Amino acid sequence: MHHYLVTPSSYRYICTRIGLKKKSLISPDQYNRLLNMELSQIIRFIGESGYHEEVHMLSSAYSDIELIEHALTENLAKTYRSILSIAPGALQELAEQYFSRWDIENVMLILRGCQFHIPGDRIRAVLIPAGVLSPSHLDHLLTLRSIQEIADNLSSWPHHEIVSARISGGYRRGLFASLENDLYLAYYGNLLTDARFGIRGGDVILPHLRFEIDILNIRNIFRLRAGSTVSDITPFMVTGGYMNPEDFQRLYGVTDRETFVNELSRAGILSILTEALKNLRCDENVCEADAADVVWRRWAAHKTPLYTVMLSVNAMLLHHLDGLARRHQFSVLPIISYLEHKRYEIANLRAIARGKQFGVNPDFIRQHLVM
Amino acid sequence: MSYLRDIRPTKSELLVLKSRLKIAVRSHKTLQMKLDGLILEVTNLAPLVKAEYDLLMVRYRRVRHLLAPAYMIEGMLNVTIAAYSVESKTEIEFSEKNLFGIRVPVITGSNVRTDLVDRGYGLLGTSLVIDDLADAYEKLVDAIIAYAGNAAALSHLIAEIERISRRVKALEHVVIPSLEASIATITASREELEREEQSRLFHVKKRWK
Repeated sequence: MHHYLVTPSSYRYICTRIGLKKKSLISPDQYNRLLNMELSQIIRFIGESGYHEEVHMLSSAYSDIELIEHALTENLAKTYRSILSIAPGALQELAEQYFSRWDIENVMLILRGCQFHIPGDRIRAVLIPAGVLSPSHLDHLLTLRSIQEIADNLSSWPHHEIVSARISGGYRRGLFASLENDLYLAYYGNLLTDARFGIRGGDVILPHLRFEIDILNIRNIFRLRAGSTVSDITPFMVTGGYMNPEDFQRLYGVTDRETFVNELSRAGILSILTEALKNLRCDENVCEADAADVVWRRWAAHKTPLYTVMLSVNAMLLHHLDGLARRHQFSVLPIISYLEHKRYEIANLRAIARGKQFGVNPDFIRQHLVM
Repeated sequence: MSYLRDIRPTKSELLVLKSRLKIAVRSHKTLQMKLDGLILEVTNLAPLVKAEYDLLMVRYRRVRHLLAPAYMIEGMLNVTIAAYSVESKTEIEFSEKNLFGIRVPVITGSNVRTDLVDRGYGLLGTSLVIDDLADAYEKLVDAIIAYAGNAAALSHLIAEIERISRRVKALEHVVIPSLEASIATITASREELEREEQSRLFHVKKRWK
């Protein structure tokens, strides 16, 4: 257990500041306006809002959609860095632990970029140095020429042992997929342990974390059912959620509708999916029977549930996080909530810009926004 | 007839022409049978190729339909990285089969559809839309391979039908009629010569008496 001499006033200061920052995020009304804009107007809009520095800095190097995407990523990285740098003591440590998932994403991007000879500049443009690994460390990793060298240079990283054990035999088929899965499993395991026993005030994020793990497992069980023939799904299930991994294993083998609906209902998945469907269709009359019907049809046909449903589930996760952040006003939750909102703001802006690039209609784009 | 010129009305020439006519008629019959067989094969293959083309277009539209959400949700680089991560290599095999003496290509693919856990990208670090897109692309590649083999076979058969059809028509409308005309001409002129000979002999005999 770590103890820090952090006064509650610094907690109040940072959380109030974060609360104000959260209010300046793009509102649903502004999204509706953005949906009816052209790409050039979107660039102007984001150039005049919180992204002006990045847009002006990158406008000479990129144009149109590439400018938007690079400016958004750059801004997200900057926001993470600035928030984590002003967070005091245990809050910073906990937030860094929580956002160390970006480290996994960054390391995997660098490893794959190195192995598949993707130019370092392209990889650098999408790295979000929000975790334990500093931007200069990530830059150094990008200059290395082999995955073994990258693994050797990650000795200060908490997941170093997993990376070096996996990569020691050199690149082989399936290496990155299994490494990525192992890293995420270790991440959730470590974070749960730290939140429970390691860091003061960490227990407040447990409900959010457990709900997130449940959603991750729900998503993955459907993905495995749709695209895989594996019989044992335990290696792909993250432990620590509210739902039991055995429930997921039992559900995985179900082939008749009645048992499927009963299992869904018993594991609490059906209520989540019903809520998601309700939000997606903007229809309060959607009941559990409707959701069960939609999900069963996809399950029986070995198809993934519609990704728009899963986006709606992500929105639910965000609302759940907001609720917890309101309940624990001076904890790490407001920081996590703000940064998650920021991440989805970036994702929404990218979705709108890419949707405009592909010429899809605004209603279709709206389904891909997490608000 | 332009096909045969400068023929001498001799018995040997007549025998040669008769033999050539016999070969031409037999060739015509064989080629006609081959043509009928090829047309039958094309009649069977064309709806299959059409169905495969329609399926290919459906799958292509599905891929196009999923590309927009994939880019919208994941962004350009994540889609690219996921694509690079795919480690299973599709193998395409080319072989040939004999159809009425024509060698048509046979294209088969293996390792096209892969299990989600063997694709190469991590399950916990990617989203559902990447699965859908990867699955749609795998199905598209499957449809392309199936279509490519049969479409190539169909185009070979059609080219062959065109070639044989030209030969059959040439035999039917040029070679056989000209041979028949030449044989008729030689026969007529030989008969004329025979009659002249008989008449000459008649007059010679009459003078001797």
